[in-house]
Formats: sequence, structure tokens, C-alpha cells
Amino acid sequence: MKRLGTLQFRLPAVVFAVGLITIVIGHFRNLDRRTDRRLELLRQDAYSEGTRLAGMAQHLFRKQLPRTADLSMSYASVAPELELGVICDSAGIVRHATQFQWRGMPLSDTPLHGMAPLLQDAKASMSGQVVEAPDRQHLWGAFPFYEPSGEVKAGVLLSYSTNLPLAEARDLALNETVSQALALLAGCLLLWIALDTLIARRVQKVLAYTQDVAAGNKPPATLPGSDEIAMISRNFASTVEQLRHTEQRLLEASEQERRSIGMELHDDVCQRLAAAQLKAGMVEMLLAKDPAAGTELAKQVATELSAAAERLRGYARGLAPVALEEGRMGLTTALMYLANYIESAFDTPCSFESGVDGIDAPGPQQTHLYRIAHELAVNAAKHARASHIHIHLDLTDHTLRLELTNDGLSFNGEAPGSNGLGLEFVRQRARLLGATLQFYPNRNGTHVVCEVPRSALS
Amino acid sequence: MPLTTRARLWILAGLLVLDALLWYGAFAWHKTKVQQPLSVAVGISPGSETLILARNQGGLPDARINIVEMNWSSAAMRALGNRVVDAAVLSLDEVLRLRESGQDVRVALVLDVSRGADALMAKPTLKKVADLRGKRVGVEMRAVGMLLLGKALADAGLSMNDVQLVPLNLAETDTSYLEDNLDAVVSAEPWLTRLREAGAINLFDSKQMNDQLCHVLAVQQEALEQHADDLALLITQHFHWREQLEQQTSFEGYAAICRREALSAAEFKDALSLLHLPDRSENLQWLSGTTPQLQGTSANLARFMVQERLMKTAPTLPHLLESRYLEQSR
Repeated sequence: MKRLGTLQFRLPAVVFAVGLITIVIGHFRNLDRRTDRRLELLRQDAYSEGTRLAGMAQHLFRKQLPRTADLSMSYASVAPELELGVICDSAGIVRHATQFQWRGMPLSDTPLHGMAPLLQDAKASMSGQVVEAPDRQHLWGAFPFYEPSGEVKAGVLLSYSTNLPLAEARDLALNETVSQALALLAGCLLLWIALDTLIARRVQKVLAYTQDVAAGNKPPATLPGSDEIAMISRNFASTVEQLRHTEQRLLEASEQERRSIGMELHDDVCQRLAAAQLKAGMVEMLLAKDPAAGTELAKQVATELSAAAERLRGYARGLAPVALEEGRMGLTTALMYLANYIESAFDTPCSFESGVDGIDAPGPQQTHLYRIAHELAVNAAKHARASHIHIHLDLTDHTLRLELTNDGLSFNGEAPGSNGLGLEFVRQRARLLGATLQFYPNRNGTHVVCEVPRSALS
Repeated sequence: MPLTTRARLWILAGLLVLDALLWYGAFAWHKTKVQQPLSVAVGISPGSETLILARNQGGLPDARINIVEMNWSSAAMRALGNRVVDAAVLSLDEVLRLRESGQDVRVALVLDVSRGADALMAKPTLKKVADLRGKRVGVEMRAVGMLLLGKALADAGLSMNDVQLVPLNLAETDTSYLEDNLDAVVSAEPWLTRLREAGAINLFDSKQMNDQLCHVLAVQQEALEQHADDLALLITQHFHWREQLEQQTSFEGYAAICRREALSAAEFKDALSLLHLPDRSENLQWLSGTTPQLQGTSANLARFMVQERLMKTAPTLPHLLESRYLEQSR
């Protein structure tokens, strides 16, 4: 089996693929969440710092402490996101800045000239504002305050770059994703190892076991353990054992059948033929001396030969019931012949009654039913010392019912120990038909019922 | 050829080790802290404008290096000491003060050596340093100004107790000289230019200090490894713009730094001439080798500062100098 087609590969591959898709989706969601969070934090920092600087600037302007204001701007610029911050007076001149080169310059000459409208809005409402810049890579903050006169308004302008925070969010999201991917890879590798150790190799052993069985080699020991694969291994070994046992019993049955036929032929037909041969010799002599006496003896010879032929026909029908090949009436005809055979072969009266005109079932199924009836009837004739055997066939709405009743010794075919070869084959045939087989021994003999569901008669 | 049991076990062991490594990677991969840019505090001084030029002209990406402009050097020193910034341009004596207080700061670069850019300026009526006895002298406390004043007074046979010290920041020396009725101030460029314009005269300057007054790039020890590449970039850019400043007086960005210094182009050029900006090879002599020049300078300076009670004890000086990043720079 190619490696890529094995369950051992496919299962971890599917888990990895699904996990990877989940991780990728999670990465983008995490990135969005982190980006939003980081920008929100930056916005809060902007408000905080802008408000602080505006309050400080108002105080320091009043106290005329420009160096302190410079120092405050210096410390504000420690935040790496702050690209440039300025404090403008009411005339729009930069008084203090995080980059000293802009001090004394008009706001319009600085990189923050685009923030003039925002500053106007902030001054109009006298409340700080933080907005996203038009280039979408900066946050702009404008925070107004009153100059010492208390009437004119100045302002603090802060421009924050969003590149660093976004890069930080991307970095953290990627780190988490890589961490998750490594965990997924580790998990899938562990799964692959577990599948290899616990399942694939052991399944290989079970396959090797089946191949050894098929090749007729001596199979190795079953797998140890109590999991499903060990149970499959043991059950398979048990099934193989049963099949081997059945195979052996089949061979024994075949041998026994041959012996039985051989003995029957020797004990009955051969004796009759030998007797007929003697009588035929005597007929020859008598015909030469006394033709009338020879005629009587010739009749006896004919009778002996006829009986022998009838017996042979009975054996033949038992081995190959031709009637079963004759369509719907096959089974009923075969069972009728069976009854005749039992009578003639065992001198035991045997009757057959059929409640059906014909049975629509395949030949093999009819053969199984015939063999069941044949075995039960012969057993009853041979071993039960019955004085009468009755065979009954009937068809109900749901089942085909075969009954066999004898008035001989009661016999419980379901009892433990009733494991004769013939009875075992009867049970096997019943199983093949999907039928039930029940024995009802009583004081007056034995009643056996075999019921086949009509649905099983395909 | 089917694998033997032994081979299979080895392969299984290898796969399990690989799996364990992957699990470890999964838990250990996550970075708990995002790298912040290297923050460098830079005061107003002509010798420090190379770094400002580098930033303004795009040589220092914002994601890697953040220049924090500070108005006076003691503010930069305090920011570095309190770990608000990772590095700062300080005078050598300020570095020694930080080391004395227990800060592990290292010198990675010599930006300039003051040869007249720092001076004790006084009213024209005062002719020599000895005339300062009992006079009001404005000086930035615990900064480079104290070093220069101490040296000037020592050379004149005076001590700090012989003058009235008026604490002020370097950035307000020019205005305070005029507004606060000071007899003298210790100042540096660019304020020296304005003091000269205001009529103050030079009683003592850094030319007389044997190159002990220099400005260096001081870096917190923790920041060295985290920002090794950033430091190398910063130093590379410094040397690039040092060359530009020495060779040209008109290029893109020049006007901005003149504005920053509040000097005209000619004044800035004059102020720059009072500083010696060592090039790369000279920096290597100062910082590297078996006997780096700056090591001896630092030891002598420390002794002088302890002697003049500018410092209580001389700090330990091993590992003061870090030449690795200078050597990595181009």
C-alpha cells in the first residue's frame, strides 16, 4: 500500500490540514484584535499625554518657565511612537517642540502644518481631539489651552506614528501563530507515531497472519493485548481454527459417506446380486432338466434383480436428488421420493404430506432443506427404532415450515453432546438458510421443526 | 529492505525527540516582550549634531533608534541614570559620576573633544580667575561645568568654597548671565557665542584641560546586547555626517541644525571649530587596544574629581570602554 494512501498518513494529514486552516483563520482574527487593541491604547496615550502637556504648558507659560516646558517635551518624546510634538502659541508659532529645530518656526513651516484645521477645531470646542491622519499611518492629537492672558488660545499638537504599534501587533500575532503551528505539528507527529505503533504495525501483523493462513503456512501467534486489534487477531485465529475444524469434519463426513455407501452396497445390493447370480446358475441347470421349475426360479431372480435396482435407485436419489432440479415441484417431489426410500431401505413406514403446491426458491436452498429432511429421517430410521416417520412441508405467510415426527426414542438434538457429524451438518445447513431448528423430544418420540423465513427464500 | 527492530527503535526514539523539541518550541516560541527602539538622549551641542542630522536625513529608522532631544546635559544624565533612555551623549565626567552612583554605563564612542567649546565666561571687569574670589558664578551642578570650574579654580589656587555658586542649567547660562547679575558663568557652545556677543570674556576654557573634557556616547550595559546592530548603525551614521560637517557648510539639513543651535551658519562653523571630532581610527585608539587612551584619561579625571571633591570616591573603571560596536561600524 502506498504510504500516502495509508490511514497512518491520511489521518494526521487531515488533522494537520484542518488545524492549519483553523490556525490561519485564528491568526487573522488575532491580528485584527491586536491591531485594534494597540491602536486604542495609542489613542488613549495620545489623549493622556496631550492633556498633560496642555495643562503643563498653560502653567509654565504663566510662570514663564520655558526650560521646564522644553524638558517636558523631551520626556514626551521618549515614547517611540511620538514622531513630533509641538506647543504653539496663539500666533501659530512653535514655542517648544520635541525636535528643537522647529522652535520659533510658524506651524505652517513644520511637518505638522496639516494639523492646523484640527487645532482650530480643538480651540473652538476647547476639548482635546485625537483623529486618524489622512495618510492613515498617523494619529493626530490637538489639545488647546489658554495663554497667560486667559483669553487667547494656544495648543499642543502631537503626531503619533502607527507603524510601530502595528508592527508590534503583527509580531505578537505571528509569534502566537508560529507557537500554535509548532504545537499542531508536534501533535500530528505524535498522532502519526501513535498510529504507527498502536495500529499500523499491528494491522500489518494481522495481514501477515491472513496471508500465512491463505498460503497454508503455520500462522504466527496472535497479537497480545486487550484492544480492538488484538481482539480481531484472536477472533480471526478462532475463525481460522473453526474453519480448519469444519474442513476436517467435511473430509471425515465425505469419507464416512463413502464407507456408508460402500457398506450398503456390499451388505445389500452385492448380496442380492450374488444371490441372483447363484439363482441364475441354478435356473440354467433347471431349464436344462425341468423347464417349469426353472421358470419359477427365474421369476425369483428377476424379483431379486428388481429389488436390487430399486435399492440402487434409492441410493442414487439420496446422493443426487434429481427431482430438486425440476422447478417449483422439485422439493415436494424429492421429499416424496425420500419417504419412499426410507420405507424401502429401512423397512420403516414413512409418509410425506405437503401443504404447498410448489416453492419458489433457488435450487441450493431446496437442496439444503432436502438434506436436512434426509438426515433427520435416516437418523430416525437408523437410530430411533421408530415404527413410523412422518414428513410434513407447509408454507405460511411468513415461513416455510418442515416438520419431521417419529415415534421412536426421544432425541434432543439441542442437548450438549449431541454433536454427531450429520447433526452438525444439519445445523450448518439451517444456518445457511437463515432457518431455525428446534427439537421437541417427548414420551412418544421426537418432533423436529425447521422454519425458514420467506424473506430468506430469494 | 525491511527495517530491523533495533533500527525501528532508533527511528522511533529520534521521532520522539523531534516531537519533544517541537512541543518545547511551541511553548518557548512566544516572545513576551517586543523589542523597543534604542533611545538616545542628545543635548544641544555642535558635536552632537551628527546624530540629529542622521535622524533628520533618514539614516536612523524610527523603528530602531529614537533620538530624545534634551536641552541640557544633566537632564540627559538623569534620564540615562533612571533608565528612561538606553544611551545618552554625556561628558566623560558625567559618565564617571554615573559609575560612582552604581550605574553600569559603558562608553561606546567619543563624539568630540572640547578644545575651547566649554569656557568660564565673566564680566569684562574681571581679568583672571583669581578675581572670582567671592563672586557669583553660575554653573550647572553635578555636570561638566563643575569640572571646568573646579579645574579653573584649582589652577588659580582657589576652591569652590571661594566663590558663590549659583545653580543653573546650561541652557539658561546666557539669559541668567544677563538677568541674574552673575559675575561669571560656566557655559558651552552654542551659548558661549551668545555670551561673547553679550560682552563676556573668556577666563578659562577646555583647551587647558588636556582633552579631559570630551563628549561620549554612554550606553546602559543591558542595552548593549539588545541593540548591538542599532549601535553599530548609529556609530556608522555619526562618522558619515561628521565627514559632511567637516567638509561642507551647506547641505540638506544644515539649516535645521543651525536653527537647533540658534546660531547662524557662520557661527555654527566657528563653534564647531572649537571641538575636535575624532574620526574612526582615532576613536579606536581612544577605546580599544591593550591600553586605550580614554582609560588613562578617565583614571586621571577621576582622581582630579575626587581631589576637588566633585566626587566622593573614584569609581571602578574595568569594562568602562566598549569598542565592539565601533569595530562593527563601517
